Amino acid sequence: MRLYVITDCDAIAADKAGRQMARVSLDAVLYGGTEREKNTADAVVKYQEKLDSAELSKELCENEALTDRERAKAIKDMIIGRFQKSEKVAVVMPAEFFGNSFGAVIMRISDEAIDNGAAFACYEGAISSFGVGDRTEADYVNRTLHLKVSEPEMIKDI
Amino acid sequence: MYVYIIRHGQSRGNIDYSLRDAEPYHPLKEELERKDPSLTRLGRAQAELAGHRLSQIEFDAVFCGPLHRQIDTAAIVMGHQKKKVPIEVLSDLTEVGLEGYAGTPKELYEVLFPDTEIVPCSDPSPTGGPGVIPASAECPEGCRVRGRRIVEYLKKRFSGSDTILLSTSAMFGGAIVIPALLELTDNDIDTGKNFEFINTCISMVELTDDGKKIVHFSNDITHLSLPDGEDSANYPF
Repeated sequence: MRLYVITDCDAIAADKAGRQMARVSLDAVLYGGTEREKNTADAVVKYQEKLDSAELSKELCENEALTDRERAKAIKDMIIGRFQKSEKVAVVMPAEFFGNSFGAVIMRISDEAIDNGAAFACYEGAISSFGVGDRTEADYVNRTLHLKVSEPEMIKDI
Repeated sequence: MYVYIIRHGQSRGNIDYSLRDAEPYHPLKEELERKDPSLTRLGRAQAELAGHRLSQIEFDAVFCGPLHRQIDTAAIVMGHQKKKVPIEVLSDLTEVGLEGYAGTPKELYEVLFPDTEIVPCSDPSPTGGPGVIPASAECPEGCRVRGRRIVEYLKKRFSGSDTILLSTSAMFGGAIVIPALLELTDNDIDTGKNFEFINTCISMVELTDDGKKIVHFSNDITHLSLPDGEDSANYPF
């Protein structure tokens, strides 16, 4: 499965991320519980031909019963359990949650390494792509050039 | 310290063998070319684009592995830098699985890269200078030892906002260098590549003086694919 992580952002960045993601035909767009995440997800869906709406995922929402890392693991399990190998899925999450928790969990970086300070940077509106299957590989992490390129064209590869 | 890692441009080893023969590029004998392929014309163009994009970043030091494609990529990138620093050959940055091949013979540097100052890394540790990588370094653990040695060396020599470039290869960069910079354990690197590496992709990892390790971006190849009319130098990162 191809997993795209888009970190939540303001309306302008969300529109740019949405137009960048238009190059990929997504099977689902999931988001967590905040307005900002919803708005980012809606901006992505707007440019998707076969999707009508983004989907609120309870695993992506804040959950007081879980630590950030446990929540990140629950999200990963949900994604792996729910989607097929051939599907392409985007999830929207807060930048800091991606940087400190989900990025490390999806890449199977151990808790010890995270405690020792290994993290991904947190750029709002950034896109990361992961191949998720028997193992997880980062195709790219924190790609932000689409946020800087002048309109209307987006970068060609994703 | 900011560590930029670049994979070499497309090499003749990255393409179909019949195409390699169709594109003679430099005077090395074919046997050496098989072991140590040079960049294709496309690979050189990719390196030019990467160099252009990196031109607004000022490197305090530039290192490359001892392979022709790694040196050539670093040399092309350096051609775009205003501040000139010598390219230091760090044999530990070579690709995995070369079974002791030491890299492009030093005597050929002046012939192959006449406009670039290329020196053996000044460090007295085993990472210094072109040399044969011991066979033990080719097993997965040996490669990880190499990766850790590089990181220890960089930490000894650089700190703060020092900015350095490493020119290396796909497997060594993606599976060894970035995990070593992040101090991942062998269990973290369970099945090989964690980070994909495409020709001339650029990754950046920050090591802070208080011990944090942050991946700012990995495998960025947008310099290869900007819309027409956009200048990559306007969008360094």
